[in-house]
Amino acid sequence: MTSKKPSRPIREEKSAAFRPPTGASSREAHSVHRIIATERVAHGGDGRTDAASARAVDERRRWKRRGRARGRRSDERREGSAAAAVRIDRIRSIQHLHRRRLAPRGRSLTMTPDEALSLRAPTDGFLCPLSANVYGIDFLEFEIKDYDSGESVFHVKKDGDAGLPELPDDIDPEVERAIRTVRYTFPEKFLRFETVRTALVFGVGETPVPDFRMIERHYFRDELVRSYDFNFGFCIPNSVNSWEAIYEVPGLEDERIAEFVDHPFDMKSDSFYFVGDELVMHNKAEYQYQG
Amino acid sequence: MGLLTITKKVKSSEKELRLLMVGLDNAGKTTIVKRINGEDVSTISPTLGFNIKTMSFLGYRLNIWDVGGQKTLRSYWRNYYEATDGLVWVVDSADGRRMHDCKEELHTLLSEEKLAGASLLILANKQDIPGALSKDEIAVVLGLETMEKRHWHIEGCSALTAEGLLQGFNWCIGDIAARIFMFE
Repeated sequence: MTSKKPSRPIREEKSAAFRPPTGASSREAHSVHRIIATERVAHGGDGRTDAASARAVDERRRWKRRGRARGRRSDERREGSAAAAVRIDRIRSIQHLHRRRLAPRGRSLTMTPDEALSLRAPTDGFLCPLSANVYGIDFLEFEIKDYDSGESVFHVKKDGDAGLPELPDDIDPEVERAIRTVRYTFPEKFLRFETVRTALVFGVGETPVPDFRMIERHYFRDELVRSYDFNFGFCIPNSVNSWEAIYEVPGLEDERIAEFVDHPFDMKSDSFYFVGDELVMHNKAEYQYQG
Repeated sequence: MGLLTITKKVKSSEKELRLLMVGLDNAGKTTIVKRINGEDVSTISPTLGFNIKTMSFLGYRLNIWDVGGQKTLRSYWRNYYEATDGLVWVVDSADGRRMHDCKEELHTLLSEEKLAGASLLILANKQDIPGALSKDEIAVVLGLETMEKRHWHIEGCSALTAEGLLQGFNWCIGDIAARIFMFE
């Protein structure tokens, strides 16, 4: 299931400052996708046949949903065969894609923008702690509208005094997931909008932000369906800034829309925010569409 | 009126253009950016950073950077010069008192090397206000005629009535497009 080749063209939204990712060709992209899939199987598979491995992956997902993934996975790793371990090592050496690596000083090294742009599935966890946001970047307002009718389908505005959440880095993973994952419910007609308008308002702290960039990857059942890459550039200290994007959405077939509607929260996204090459924020979102 | 309505059919391989909108505070930069897409312009507060608008226009992917014009923010403008294709300088035509400041700031900006190749559109805003200077008067006050080499154009406009905005942006995009086309 995870190794299924993406069957739909991927629409990439690129900024003027877009730099092509190192693994941008379709063949490479496909192989990265397979590496991720293999890694998943390798974790749960322990040399079983592919079908058994796939079942194990499915099973693991079900466990994950119940919030017990971590303990179980570590058990599997402990019991795993040497062959599987070698495979995992090899895979890791090829692409450190979605594992948090710790630098000597305990600071997370996480991923680069190019690596984010080569991801082909949601990451397992969050690739930087909340404390990585040393610039005090704070999202204040977000709205999604249909351009043609002006109808708003989503609008959230933060209380001006709310400030940033202060949480320890050793927070319980499930609590962290709940805090850092937004669940959106959109009307089904959102999938039929021809032109969408999104508006984001964010503030930054006392430190100038040299080169702020957002990369967002959207997946439906581990298939990349959309990718955004936008470079905000410099942000003035203590500034409040906004970004409004008006873009056309490729028309979806009724079948595809039904598929999205029938699988609530199988549409997922990872939002990565970089300052230069440093990952300062990573959030996730899940989407469902209702008729 | 909406810029986008003119260019509904755009190719996905559209080129990116970057416009930088600056000018003194209260010139109407944000109102103009909002107005060109038919948004509500009744409650605009001073910009304390930037407002970016990304949209399609004449087959291009247009990124408009509207940066706050307050005195304390002007020293940060230079952070937005890089890769700017077009410079939009907005003038409050009814603010005769600060026209000299306006001229000084504009010429400081134009001496920036990074902006040397950018097309310059001057929007003489607030033409709806009685007593506002006309675009020809502003061209004289700002000393536009003395500029050599620079591609420039001045358009009288009103962000409230939308008059002149489309003409202005059309010129700017057209001028940039012609330049890019020439070099390709």
